[in-house]
Amino acid sequence: MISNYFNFNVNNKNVKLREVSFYEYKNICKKILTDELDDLNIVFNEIIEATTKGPSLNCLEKFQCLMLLRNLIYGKEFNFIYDDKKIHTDLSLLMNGVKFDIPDICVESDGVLFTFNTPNNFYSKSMDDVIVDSLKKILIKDREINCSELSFNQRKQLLDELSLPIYETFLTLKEKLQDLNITFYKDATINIYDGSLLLFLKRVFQDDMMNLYSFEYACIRGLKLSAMDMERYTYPELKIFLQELTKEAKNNKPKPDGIDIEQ
Amino acid sequence: MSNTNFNDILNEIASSKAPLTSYSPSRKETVQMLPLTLSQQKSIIETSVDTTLAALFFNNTFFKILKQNVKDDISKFDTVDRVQFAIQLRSQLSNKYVNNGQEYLLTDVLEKNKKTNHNIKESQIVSDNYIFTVKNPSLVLDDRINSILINKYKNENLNGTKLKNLISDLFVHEILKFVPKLKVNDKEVELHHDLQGAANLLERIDSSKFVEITKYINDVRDLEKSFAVLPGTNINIDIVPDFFIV
Repeated sequence: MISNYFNFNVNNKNVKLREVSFYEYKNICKKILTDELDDLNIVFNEIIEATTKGPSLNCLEKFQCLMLLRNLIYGKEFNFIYDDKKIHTDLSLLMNGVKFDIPDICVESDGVLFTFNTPNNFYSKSMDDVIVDSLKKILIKDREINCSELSFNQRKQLLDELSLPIYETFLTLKEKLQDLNITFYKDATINIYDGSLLLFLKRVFQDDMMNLYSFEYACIRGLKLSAMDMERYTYPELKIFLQELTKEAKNNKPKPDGIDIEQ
Repeated sequence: MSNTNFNDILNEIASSKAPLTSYSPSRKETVQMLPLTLSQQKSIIETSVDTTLAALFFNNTFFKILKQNVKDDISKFDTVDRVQFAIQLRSQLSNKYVNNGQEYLLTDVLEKNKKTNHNIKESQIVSDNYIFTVKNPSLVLDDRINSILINKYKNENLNGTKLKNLISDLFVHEILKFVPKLKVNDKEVELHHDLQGAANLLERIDSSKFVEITKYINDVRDLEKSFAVLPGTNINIDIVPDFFIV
């Protein structure tokens, strides 16, 4: 496994981000072949878990880390189809437009003050999940409980001990969290809790598996690398090695009269 | 946060949680109950998905919630109490109830209900050689019978014959809820011990014998409705999943 970490400032948090090996990248591409949001949620959270070190991150901070990781593999250029036209864009424009949090959303119920902000997960499948995932603080009888470091299940347990109107709270959150939507291109926006964040990540990470296998084969054949080596090098590094090999091969090409210039 | 610290906070919140004081029309006494949690609200909302069996699912889910939240023996209470308890729990989430743009306070309904008389008594209905004992069902019995129907039909495609069967079953089981005993020619049968056997037995009786029982059932359902009437109006609150969407 590669252990080279880069330091990044993500929403004023110091995050260490590790490059992924070709072997890890290939596995990511395999795992995101699904369209099931639950599965994609697990995969992208696993990637974050495996590649970042630092404070806990909300969904948009995680999103930013994944975009940085993607840029380490492919650079900032991204192509997509919009209105039947092929569009070339620079992902850093999108990343610069990400708003990580909004003014706290406060809901009072039964004498308890609940504070919400950006959810932690990439996707929430129900109203109560959005509420639990966005919970940051609870103020109950002058005692403040900071929920940011609590697990999802712990926050769920806390909320289950308190009375909070589910639908009204969800509508409030839905309205305010809209301000965090990421404008991707023109009127195309990415909602942060309905799964579109995951589908966008899938799109920017996905690669043609046959191309990847052909590339791996070329590395094994041409560079005489073993399967183990694929865990030691990144995709861009291997691309450079192959380019060098191609260059070398071109330079070593025998002259038309059959005399090899190197001989 | 460590589990110990978290459990301390959880226990602290749980112990400081103030129960609601409700009123049981059937017992004419106050009842303590815990407010609805987030997951309980979610489970109520989810019962609205299936339209044909929605009422059964809702009552089933609501019974489970009451069993968890009511700090008393749930078997003491009847279906009229359910109306009062539902309004009580909903008022905790939001006291406002809007009907046709007009706002009402649910606490006014709850107060009015304390003065409403729960006058349904156990009685006997004689029809030829049949003597039916009729009684408003407890919440426990109501739940047991609803569960039988839900289990029988939840995975069925309800059209044509299946739908006819469901309607017929609903009728028989509704009668069954209200008839704990049946006496025929000096032979008395306790119907609520073996519900399936009792339903089969009731199916064999000529439905003309149930006319008076149906009247009794309608009286009970009317009484339940009267507990959901907004004061000073003839508007009824529908105690359905949507009522809890606030």
